[in-house]
Amino acid sequence: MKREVLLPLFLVASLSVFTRCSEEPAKVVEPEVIVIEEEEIPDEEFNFFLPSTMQIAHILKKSGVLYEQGLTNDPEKYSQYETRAKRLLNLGVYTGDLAYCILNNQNEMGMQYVGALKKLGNDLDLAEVYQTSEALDKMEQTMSNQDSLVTFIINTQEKLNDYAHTSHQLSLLLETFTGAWVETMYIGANAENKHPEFMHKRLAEQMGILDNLIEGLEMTNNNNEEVSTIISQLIDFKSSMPPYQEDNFENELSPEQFEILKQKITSIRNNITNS
Amino acid sequence: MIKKILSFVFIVGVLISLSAFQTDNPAECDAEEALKTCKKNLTPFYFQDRKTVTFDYNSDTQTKEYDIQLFDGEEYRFILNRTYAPGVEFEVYNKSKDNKKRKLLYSSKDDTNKGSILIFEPLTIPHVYVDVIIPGGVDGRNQGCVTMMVGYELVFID
Repeated sequence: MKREVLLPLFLVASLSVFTRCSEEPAKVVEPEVIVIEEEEIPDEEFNFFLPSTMQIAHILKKSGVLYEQGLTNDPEKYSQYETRAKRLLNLGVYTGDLAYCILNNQNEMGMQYVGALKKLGNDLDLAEVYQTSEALDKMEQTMSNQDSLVTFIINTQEKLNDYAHTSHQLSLLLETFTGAWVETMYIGANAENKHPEFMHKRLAEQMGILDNLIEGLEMTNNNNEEVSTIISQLIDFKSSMPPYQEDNFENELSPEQFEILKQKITSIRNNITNS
Repeated sequence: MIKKILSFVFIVGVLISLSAFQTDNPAECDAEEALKTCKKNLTPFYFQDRKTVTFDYNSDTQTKEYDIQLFDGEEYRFILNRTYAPGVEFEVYNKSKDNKKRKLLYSSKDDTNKGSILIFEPLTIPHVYVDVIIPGGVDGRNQGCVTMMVGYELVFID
């Protein structure tokens, strides 16, 4: 009788252990990621999709923006950005500058921004995002400079997105996109333009992003003073602009409103870049 | 002897039932695989952004809504992956769910493709709202996830 009770119990115990052990190999070992003090916010909490920096720059280029030397942020200034927030914001600024260079065939200048992005990426422990792989480097050598720069910007945007989601650091996306958006708006407002009337319309269209951008920054900001300042500046910027109409593509800026936009966005941009 | 065989069979049966509770259902949500499939279907559009929405099925229908701003004259492609979300439907509107006058632009129910991977290229209007409709009372499943990806067209000009 004793044997009859013990045998099944032994089988239960050993098979149960076996079942648990058999689960172990199925677990995927995630690569180690450095999670910087940020409360985890589920992906679904952000009820919006971010636009692409490259696309916004492309839209402004199509509206007649010309290349103007000295307008972009100095790529050598990357070492001045010492806090995480400043680095992320300027990672975005340099991405906006790189897009502007690519779209205007300023490939030599573009390569300087690639260098600045890689260095800033290193300082942020994002080397895996900004260092190109050997395979990609070889592929780039066979392409024209513009093609390789396009490949770089598109790939890094996608890799940064993957990294931010995998490591639950959505502030990476929000802060870099904010820097890129501000820089692209700054360029659009300040660069010489073949068709200023189109530019006013295109800049007005961009104001449709602001609500989501402010909301996203507020959700991910962990009482960081620099980010809080940017949020306040963006709120002030939004309140100084005409209400955005989401029913149609008829958003416009009067010449006076354009001057306010130019002044406000330049102030936000100069705060980010320490200019 | 027969007693021993019967008790062995009984124990094995109990263990199989227990292991069903102990192991996560591997088919519940493989977000990485879902993402790869979305990327494959995005070409020739360029990656813009993506979102994986994980949810718990419950007795009631739930709707989650996501806002996408589109720019005038640009072309977009949406990839909606419901491989790990049985019963989930997608609807795309021109306005948010708070607006009673909104128009339906796309419904997965009307899509000729009844599969798990849905591709939608919207007419460009300033904003579109993607609703993920999670049905209530799905038997035998606690969790699910959908992955959505947006891509844009990039044609270089001189």
